[in-house]
Amino acid sequence: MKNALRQIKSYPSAVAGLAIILLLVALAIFAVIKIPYQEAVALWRGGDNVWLETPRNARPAWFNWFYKEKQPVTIVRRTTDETAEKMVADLGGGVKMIDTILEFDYHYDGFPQELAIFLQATYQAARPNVNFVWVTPDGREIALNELQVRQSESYRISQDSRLERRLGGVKPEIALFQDPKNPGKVLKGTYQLRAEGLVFEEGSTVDASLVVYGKLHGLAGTDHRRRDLMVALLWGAPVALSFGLLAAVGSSLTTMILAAASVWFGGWVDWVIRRINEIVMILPLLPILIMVGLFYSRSIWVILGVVIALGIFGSGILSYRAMFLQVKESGYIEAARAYGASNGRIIFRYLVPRILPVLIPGFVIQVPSYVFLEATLSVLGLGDPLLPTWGKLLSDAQSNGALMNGYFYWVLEPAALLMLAGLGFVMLGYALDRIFNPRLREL
Amino acid sequence: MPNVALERQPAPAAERKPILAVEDLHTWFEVRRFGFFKAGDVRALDGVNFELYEGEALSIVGESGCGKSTLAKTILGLHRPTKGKIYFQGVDISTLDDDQLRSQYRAKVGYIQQDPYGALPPFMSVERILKEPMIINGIKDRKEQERRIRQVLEEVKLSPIEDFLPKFPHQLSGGQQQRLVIARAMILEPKLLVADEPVSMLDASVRVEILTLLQKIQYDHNLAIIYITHDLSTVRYFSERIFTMYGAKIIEKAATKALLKNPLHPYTRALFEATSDPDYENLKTFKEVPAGEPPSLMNPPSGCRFHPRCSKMIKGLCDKELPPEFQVTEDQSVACWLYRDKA
Amino acid sequence: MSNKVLLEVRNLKLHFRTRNGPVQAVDNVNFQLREGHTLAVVGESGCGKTSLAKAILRLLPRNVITYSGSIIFDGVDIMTFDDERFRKEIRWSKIAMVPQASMNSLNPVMRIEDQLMEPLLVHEDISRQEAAKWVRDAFAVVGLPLDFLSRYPFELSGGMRQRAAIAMALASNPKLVLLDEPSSALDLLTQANLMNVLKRVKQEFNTTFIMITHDIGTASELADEIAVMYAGELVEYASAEYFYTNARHPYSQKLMASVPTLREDKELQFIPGQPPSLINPPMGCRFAERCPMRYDKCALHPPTVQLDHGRTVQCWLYADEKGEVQHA
Repeated sequence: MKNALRQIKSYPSAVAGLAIILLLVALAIFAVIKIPYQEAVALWRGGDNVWLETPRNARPAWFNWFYKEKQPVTIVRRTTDETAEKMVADLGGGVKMIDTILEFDYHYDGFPQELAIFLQATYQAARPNVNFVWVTPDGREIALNELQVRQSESYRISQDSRLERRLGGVKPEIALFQDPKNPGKVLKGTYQLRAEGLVFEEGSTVDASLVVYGKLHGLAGTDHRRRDLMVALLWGAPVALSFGLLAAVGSSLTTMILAAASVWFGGWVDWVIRRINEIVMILPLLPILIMVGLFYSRSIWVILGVVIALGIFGSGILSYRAMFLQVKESGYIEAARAYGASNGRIIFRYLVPRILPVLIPGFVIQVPSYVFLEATLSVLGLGDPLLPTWGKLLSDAQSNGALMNGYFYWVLEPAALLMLAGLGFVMLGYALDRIFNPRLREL
Repeated sequence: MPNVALERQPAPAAERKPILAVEDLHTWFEVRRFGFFKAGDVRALDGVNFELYEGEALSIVGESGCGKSTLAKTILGLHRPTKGKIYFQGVDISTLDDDQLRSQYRAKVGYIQQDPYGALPPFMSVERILKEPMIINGIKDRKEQERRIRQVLEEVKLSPIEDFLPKFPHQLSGGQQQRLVIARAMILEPKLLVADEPVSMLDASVRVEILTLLQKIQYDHNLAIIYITHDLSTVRYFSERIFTMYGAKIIEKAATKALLKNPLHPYTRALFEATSDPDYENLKTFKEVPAGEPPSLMNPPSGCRFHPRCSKMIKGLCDKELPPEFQVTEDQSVACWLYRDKA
Repeated sequence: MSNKVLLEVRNLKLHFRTRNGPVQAVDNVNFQLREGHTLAVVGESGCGKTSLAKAILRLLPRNVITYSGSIIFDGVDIMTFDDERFRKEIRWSKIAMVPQASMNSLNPVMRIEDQLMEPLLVHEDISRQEAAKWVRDAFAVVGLPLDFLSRYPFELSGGMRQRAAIAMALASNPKLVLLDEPSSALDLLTQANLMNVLKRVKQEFNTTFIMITHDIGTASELADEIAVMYAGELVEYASAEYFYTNARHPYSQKLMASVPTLREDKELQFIPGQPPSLINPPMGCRFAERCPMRYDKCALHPPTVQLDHGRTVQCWLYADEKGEVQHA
């Protein structure tokens, strides 16, 4: 083993491959710690206002580095913030006037993507009243709307068509930020939202949050359901690695043991295993997986199980069998029989270890195939519905016309990670092949 | 360890106790076409009888295909006999099943093979190789294992022991590998050793060393040993008795000294004739070699298996009937019609 | 047998590169071989005898570092030939080789006849019919029935296949044939048969052989001269008579003493230790470590000393007596 590590160091491609794999493993560990499984599943399912304050289809925030005209990042101001100015006036009889001013600076060149206000109210019977006024840096005041607030209310300014007409047919998120002297250009400065609230009962409260949706978000951007892509990118790593490794190792090892048993016992055991192999080789893997996914279950563990079950009896068993047939006649196997080794011992301690070093590079190289298989299934819509994976991202991107709409990052990010994973394993695998198979080495 | 003891005499008849008795032993291998149709049998061992005594060294000589390796492997329990009996210390082992063989027999017989490198698992260290037989046969106590390993390595002179324990087979020379094979064969304290051409793959100068070692081990432990070889010239230095095999049968049995002085069977004579000693006179003479090839084991010739090639064949007799074993002198017996009057 | 020197090898060196360092497989080998004679090159595994054969026939591995010396064949130094000329004129047509275990290297999917004709058609400018005739003649020489020509190798026994391989080498009527362990993979009787065949070929056709073997017994069947190799060097060269009765080099003596004899009662001895690695061979005498007669001078590399009757020995024990240094 130590010898192998030393030899790996001498192959630059192996070192690079190993580095990439370690990086992915680190990413996977980080993902699982930062966002535990339950949380990840919950985040990815979305709904329930999980992704309320993220923009839709936002590009990664660091894109601003490359833009001449800086695009906005989401700004959120809440009435519960400390910086929010609040004035409470008691008008008697339980009626209170609560005026809050939410302030923010806006100095981006681009317009926000959306504007919304989310309200929360507590009351007995009488719903509070809120009047929203927009104050621009150059002092214009624009009345937005007056609302009777329920317990939970969302006012999507951008979708307010009456407001749009009042603003002259221009979309609110643009009109409210536009420089009146320079239409089309953003008026930079400090903006305010005045929320004039009226509560009618003792103990009623009303709180609002203003969300100025940006066009950029986070490290990786967001998707059509406002989900931060980083969640899926991070979580894709442990899913891809574990699926790939488990499938590759599981099927390789089991195949090898089956081949050894087949060769060692010969007779009908060999006959049966070979017939199963022949049948399995005819069966097409992907269509079967599709059928299993459609008619039975899309759980990733079920899919993994089927993949391994079919993989075990695949063509690998024949090549291992050929290797074992050669080894079977070795003197030391005969000697082992002569000093009383049992069949099981011979298979596991004498046959398998002989072949193992030759197989290690083989299954390292197989890992990417399984990783891509999982991604393929996701793209076909058969991936595990709960888990955020790289394949899922690609699938979503495709069904939402990512490339047509210019959201190329949505496709490139998972694709790059998939390729990186594949590259890492293949580089390491081929170097291992040269180490463990001296015949392939040049002198 | 310089000199090798020269020829030895068998112990007097009164003292002899057979440790191994083989009766009418046959080992046939089925030949099937297309996995189904039985095409016949390869009769690798076709009727062998003999007794081996405690502490006796026996050589079996023959060419490839004569059945000597099959005999060795059948005795070792690696092939199941098709017919006949093998008695080891009085117990008929030919009827035992795998488990019984393991518990009652395998530990008592050591196996030394021809190819030392092939006989050793390349992925196990010396220490591991020696531990395996012990683990399998229930010797689990650490101290006992170490004691035996030490003892056996000292005997085969692989020392300093600490140096050798962690080594792997490919790090040893051919001679050292074969010593390790011998050590492994000895580790269960067997009563019988079967050595199948133990030195034919080693260099000439190493052969003597290994044969000497085997001899010493045999003496020290009073082991019975069956030494199989195709090289007649080594036999004189090693064993008290020699058997010659041809066509899956034993054709001559003799005390070594007697055989070397006067080989009876025409085939044994041919083997003698064909062995070249280092002698420059050889350049001038042609050897007399029986024409033809060894017989088919699936379709052996009728009568004496050697008759198609024998210059002394008696027509009507040798080609019709298998010769029985004729005891020609106290020390020699031969299965050849030429000696039918001498018995 | 004549007195004409067919082959003279001088200072032949062959070193090649491995991961662990340069292997000095053949180091300064010198000998002469007369027409019609057979030289047996004997030694144990790793002594360089097969490399010597390959060096003579220029069948070099890819990782050669040094290949030097002169090989004067029939009066011409063939070392000076470029590869293409060597291939056309020398290899197979003038010098042929029967490699080790060649009975296993016959092409299993070609008929024997076709296989034997192939090198003839490649190396000689002859028609198919002429090649077929040469092949039939060669078959007759080695004593194989002609109907075997149309068979496949698996239909023949090991001994017959070995003879077929020899026929392949003889078919083009070469002047010199190299036999690499011609009989070590064969049974005793088949071996004897083969030696008979070679003896007959030698007598009838005056073929010159170089036989490489580890078996000094078998060597005595065919050899007129013996050359002993140890650790890449030629340590003794003598005619068979003188060698077998009175070998000079301590290694040769020990070798003789370690080979059991059938007809003679003798005490066997073995040589403790192992040959040195060819990667960094000792500076002095390479056998000194295992030699019972070594003394302080052996730390220096011994010269090759000429003795009587055309014998040479590479040993200090004889240099002192004669004081002559021929090839350093």
